[in-house]
Amino acid sequence: MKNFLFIFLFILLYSTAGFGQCNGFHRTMCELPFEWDYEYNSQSVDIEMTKGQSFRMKIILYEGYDYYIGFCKEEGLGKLNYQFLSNDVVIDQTNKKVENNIEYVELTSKKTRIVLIDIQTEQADGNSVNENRKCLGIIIGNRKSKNTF
Amino acid sequence: MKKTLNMKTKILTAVYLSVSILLAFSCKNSTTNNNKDKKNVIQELPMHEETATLDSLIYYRFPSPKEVFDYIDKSKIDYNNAILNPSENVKKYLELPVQAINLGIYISDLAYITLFEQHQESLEYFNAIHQLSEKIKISGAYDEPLYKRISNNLDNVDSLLVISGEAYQNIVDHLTETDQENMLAVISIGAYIESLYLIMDYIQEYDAESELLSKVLDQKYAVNNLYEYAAQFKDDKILDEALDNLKAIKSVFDKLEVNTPEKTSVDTENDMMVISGGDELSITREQFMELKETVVESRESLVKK
Repeated sequence: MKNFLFIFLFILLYSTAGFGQCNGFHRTMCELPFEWDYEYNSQSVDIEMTKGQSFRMKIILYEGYDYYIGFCKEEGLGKLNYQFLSNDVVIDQTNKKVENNIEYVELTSKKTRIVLIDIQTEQADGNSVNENRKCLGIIIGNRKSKNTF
Repeated sequence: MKKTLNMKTKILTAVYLSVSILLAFSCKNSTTNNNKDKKNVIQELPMHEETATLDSLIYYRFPSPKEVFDYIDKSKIDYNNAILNPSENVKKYLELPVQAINLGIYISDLAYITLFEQHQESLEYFNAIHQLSEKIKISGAYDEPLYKRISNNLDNVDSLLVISGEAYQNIVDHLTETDQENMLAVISIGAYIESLYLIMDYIQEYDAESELLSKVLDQKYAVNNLYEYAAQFKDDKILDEALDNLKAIKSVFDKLEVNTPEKTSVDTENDMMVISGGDELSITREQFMELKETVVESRESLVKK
């Protein structure tokens, strides 16, 4: 019980402290591949996370566009688990790729839709809150779809 | 971009994380692990209690005005500067909420103008944006070098498009960094109402098969996300009018018929995930008229202040 109380207070302290200073992380610290042929999408975001934390965001995918969704994390954040959900179904990332230390997927939608991205970091290893606070950049790019459906 | 949370959200975050821990202690089965064991590309989303009750913890994103206009095929429409909010109106806007809303309106106008490569007008609208940014004390987002870049690139279409996009992103970054996401919500609402107004002006007659109308209907999703984003700050007076107007538009979008002729599915083609199926939206003549009227009324009331 004491342990649980400690964890609760730990999380409460962290949560009320806000998300910190990660603004601009993905644009300054994440190098996109030279041949990246997407246009930067304004739905990209930087967040500050600690190990064991989860984050969810809803983005819009327009019909007729290809999307690049990349996860660029600061060293020490640990392994990321993420999944995409659309219309209440989970989409596994069977074509997950890594380039320039950015894990990414490329997807396209035949219809305009909302996609939920659910991100979880691996569990904390006992370091202090500040040590665990790391930036995660979610880089979204779009281009007119090359696929013809 | 810094992610900030208001106090309510922070408290909900704490509760959410606590609930998550409780669930983790009481039930160790992991959805992620389960997913790995299944070969199907898609699967039904398991019900999470916290998902249903703590929806506000989702961070809502929406395309920029430039991205909205890019989505519209400009080859099928002609440039019409008569539908823009005249840049000289900038002097009329004296109160903070109205200034913020009209900043968003001018951002959309600038995106529309640059899409059609109207160079000289882009400078006028950039000036209007700069003036309003100064009035609401976010001119730091629009720095002098950017202004000079626009002046120096009036004949370079590609550069103008990039600069226009950067200018919007600078505002987003600045407001997020300075913990003014309430202001960002107001500006974004202004921008969306203007985008819808400009696009819908090209649709004078109802045609259920119209490609342009179909693209307007697709904005339902962006309007939903924007509304959810802005609603976190609903207790802030600065949002009152903007949110009321967006809510009126959202209410019409909510009336649209949603059909799901084909379940969502995913294939891989050319190393790319292709998502098919899902919802299809349709609009009746009456709903179209209501949407158009609501958008026009909202926009006209906002620019006349």
